[in-house]
Amino acid sequence: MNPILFNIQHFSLHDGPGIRTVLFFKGCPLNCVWCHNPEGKSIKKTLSFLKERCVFCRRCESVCPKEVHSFQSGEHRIFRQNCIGCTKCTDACNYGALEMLGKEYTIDEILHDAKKDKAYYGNSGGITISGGEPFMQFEALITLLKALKENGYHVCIETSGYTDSERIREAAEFTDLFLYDYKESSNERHKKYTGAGQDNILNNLNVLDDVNAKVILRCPIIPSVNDYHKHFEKIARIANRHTSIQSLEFMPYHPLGISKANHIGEKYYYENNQFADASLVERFCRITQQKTSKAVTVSK
Amino acid sequence: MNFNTPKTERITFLKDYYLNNSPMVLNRDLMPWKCHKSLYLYVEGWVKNSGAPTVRLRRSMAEAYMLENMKPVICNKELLAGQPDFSPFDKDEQIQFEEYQKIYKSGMPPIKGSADHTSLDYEKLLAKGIEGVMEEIKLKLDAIDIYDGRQAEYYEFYKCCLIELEGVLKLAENYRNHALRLADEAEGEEKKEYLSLADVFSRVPAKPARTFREALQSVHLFLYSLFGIYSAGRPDQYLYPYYEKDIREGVMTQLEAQELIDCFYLQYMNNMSAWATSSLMIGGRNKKGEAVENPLTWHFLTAIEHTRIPDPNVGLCVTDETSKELLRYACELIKSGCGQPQIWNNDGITKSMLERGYDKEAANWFTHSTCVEISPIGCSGVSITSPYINILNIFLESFKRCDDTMTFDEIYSSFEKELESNLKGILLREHLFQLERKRNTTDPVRISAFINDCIERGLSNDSGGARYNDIQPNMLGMTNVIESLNVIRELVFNQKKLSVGEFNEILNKNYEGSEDILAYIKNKVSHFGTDTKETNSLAKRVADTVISILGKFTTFRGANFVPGAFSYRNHEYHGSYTPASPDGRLSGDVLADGSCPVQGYDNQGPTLSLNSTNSWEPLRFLGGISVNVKISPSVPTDRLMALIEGYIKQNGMQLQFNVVDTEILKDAQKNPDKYADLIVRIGGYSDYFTKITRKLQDDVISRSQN
Repeated sequence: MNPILFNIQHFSLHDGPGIRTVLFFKGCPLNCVWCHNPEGKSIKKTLSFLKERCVFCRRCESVCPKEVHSFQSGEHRIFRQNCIGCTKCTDACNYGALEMLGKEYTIDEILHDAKKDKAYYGNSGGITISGGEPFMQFEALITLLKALKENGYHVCIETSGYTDSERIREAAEFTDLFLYDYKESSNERHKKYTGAGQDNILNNLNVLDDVNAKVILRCPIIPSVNDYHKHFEKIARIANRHTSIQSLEFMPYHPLGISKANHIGEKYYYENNQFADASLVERFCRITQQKTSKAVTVSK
Repeated sequence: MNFNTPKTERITFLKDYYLNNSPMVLNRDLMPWKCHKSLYLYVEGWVKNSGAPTVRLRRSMAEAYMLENMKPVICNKELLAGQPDFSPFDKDEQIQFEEYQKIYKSGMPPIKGSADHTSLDYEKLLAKGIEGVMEEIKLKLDAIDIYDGRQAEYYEFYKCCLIELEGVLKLAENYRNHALRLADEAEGEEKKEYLSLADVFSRVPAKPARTFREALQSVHLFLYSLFGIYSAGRPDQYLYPYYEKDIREGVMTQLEAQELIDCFYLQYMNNMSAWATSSLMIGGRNKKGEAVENPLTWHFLTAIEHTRIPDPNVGLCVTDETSKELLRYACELIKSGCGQPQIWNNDGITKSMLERGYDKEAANWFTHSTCVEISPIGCSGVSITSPYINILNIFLESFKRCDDTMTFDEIYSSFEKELESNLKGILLREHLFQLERKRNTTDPVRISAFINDCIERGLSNDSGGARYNDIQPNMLGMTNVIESLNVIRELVFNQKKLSVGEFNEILNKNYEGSEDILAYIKNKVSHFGTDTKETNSLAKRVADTVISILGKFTTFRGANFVPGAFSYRNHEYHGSYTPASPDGRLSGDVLADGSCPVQGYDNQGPTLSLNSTNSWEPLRFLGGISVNVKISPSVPTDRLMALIEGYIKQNGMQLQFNVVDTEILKDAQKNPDKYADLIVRIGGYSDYFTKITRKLQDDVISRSQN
């Protein structure tokens, strides 16, 4: 089973130790309102449109078998519900306005691509599997993990933790480090803002303790969603409880997801175009750090 | 081993003083070569010595006249002195200067080809002093057999050396006397400082240096006296014995040593205009190939932090023995946005030099002579960027004549033929320039006293006395050629979107009316710079072609032509007359910056971009490459280190960074006054961002940021 990715990023600097190649798996079971990779939510191919690049050549309209593109009253409108992901329009667009996100890669293709960065990994870098939610494509994930380990790569998985415990147990065998999201402390609010409860997320941390996995707990700081005192105390308690957790990383909200959602015609429910306030983040950082001996850092 | 030697008040004062007073900083028209007062005196010396038997002797007499009559300039608080006098001419002098300029332009034999851009045997200068070297030359002079007329050429050379070196001694004496005069007028600490400066000049450069300060002053005064751009070689090696002795004997603290080196750097502000550059190299290996990393290596890096100026152009040689601590510190400097140091693959270059016939010592003991040209220290009569060759323009000439019946390989071989036939003409002209250089000596002859084996052979550097005499033609727009071929292969042959004839039509019209094709080229073609097998092999093919065709030629002395592929700031000028090219470049646009992929086409990040560059085996291009990486200031230091280490492991050659946010550069375009101090790297050198042309500014901004 081959994975479907929406991007391969070379020279990633902030997704695990060292220089990393990040493979973005498509598809996610959650629906976080602040999602910074909205193009990774759906497992289906996603048509991205950069309006400012369109020159109204209408070539997309002429090649589309499903009338996805319409040019009326001086506007290029896209009816994505009709799109079958055939890539005819994206192939026809010369201006980089249309792009089809989501492509199946063979394991060999991925290995070939990863090899290009290998010399730069040094002693710490490697490959990070991110998403979307990598566990959504579990079979492909396991196949890929095995191949990567056979080739001696240091592998990180960036995950929401929202998956079956058996799956996470199996993946842990081939994973050097989990970048594990912890988003919200109240189950109710978790449901409200991510579309699902957090029971299995919390439970899966026990599983990772069990198998002696290594985890960096990553906590997005979303203004007016989870920026309350108790949440940061809870984070410290979780960090203290789980032996697998090595350190914590706070990820201040950035509004880059808004334009991405725009490009794929999705509504962005968390309408906030401000970066999280740095001094506030520092304060939360201190609150948590006071209650745990594990290192708390702020990601850039 | 970072000593954390803080920046002293003296350094803050001097930098500030030079920034606001140094004519070189304030007036971009001034040249680091003879100009203004030095030119005035030089021509006056030429006029006064019309009776000299040869042009060469007459030039040397003019040099000596200039040196003897230059007004010494010493600023308050300087620990090292030596800078040109740019005080204004009075009315009579101005009239006379205009006359002299006419003589310089039309009365004196014109200077052809490249000059300076080499480095000298500073160990010899420090060990023997100028008097010692003059003794050596006098012995040779005495040994000349007057009955053998063929030796007259040696006589002339030795005489020239002695005349000029005598001039340098006089210059130093004038500096000494000036310091004494200043001491007379001063009191207290200031008086003491002038006296100690006078003391230094009473010793060096005439005699062997005894202390670290004397050694630095000796090197600086000699370099300043040359009015040219020369590399200071590898100072963490040749200065180390003096440093070590002074520290051991307690006559100098590390703080004092640091201050002296900072002063040495700051003097570049007075001697080097921002658009020219002069270099030094640290770390790496010594002549024997042993790893070098001593306290001076650290001090010379720290001086970058303390001074933050475009010069000297510091190169850090990295090997697998370079300590993590040193590399980390270098990376922190790079991250601070001062554009320094540039990174060199010491062992890769040594290997390449050995393959090109340099002996082991020369191959270990090299430097970048100013920007990025590689040459052995103290034995190289190299001519760099001789000449700049716009290889894209040559390619376009050949492509114009291609037609629809031709295969890709036929198009390629027509490029090869065009290149070869162009090179015949270009290099013939270069031979003639070199002949003229030999006859009429463009550089001061005294440098030959410090370039081996000139004294031994009795021939000046310009006459072929140096041990190595390679000439380094420089390819401009080479990656534009690679990308153009890539686009042609893709559009004409793989996709059959258009014919060769149609493509030429489009280029003739500068893509007007073919915006669709232009967009296709930019957005849909897989470019060189993203590490694909197809584009990499094309790059290798083009580089091989350059190497193999140049390999058919020898220089007028029978030495090698060794190509370079960097641009300095000439990608702007040479782009300005070059018509539209198949890589999507419009007529008049800048060429690719140095050896990097075409601007904006390496959009998959620096690792893939660097892999692409390494694919054409640039270590063969000892004439110099410059690989610019623009990177966000948020890059963690360990990642930057890993990038450098990985690049070198994969046989990269040179690497330089612009670590500055695009937003800041844009703001600096709007508010230049706010960013007077902002330094960026261009094709192998550094310059103040706000002082380069708008076109080059845009070019720096457009280089893909990762």
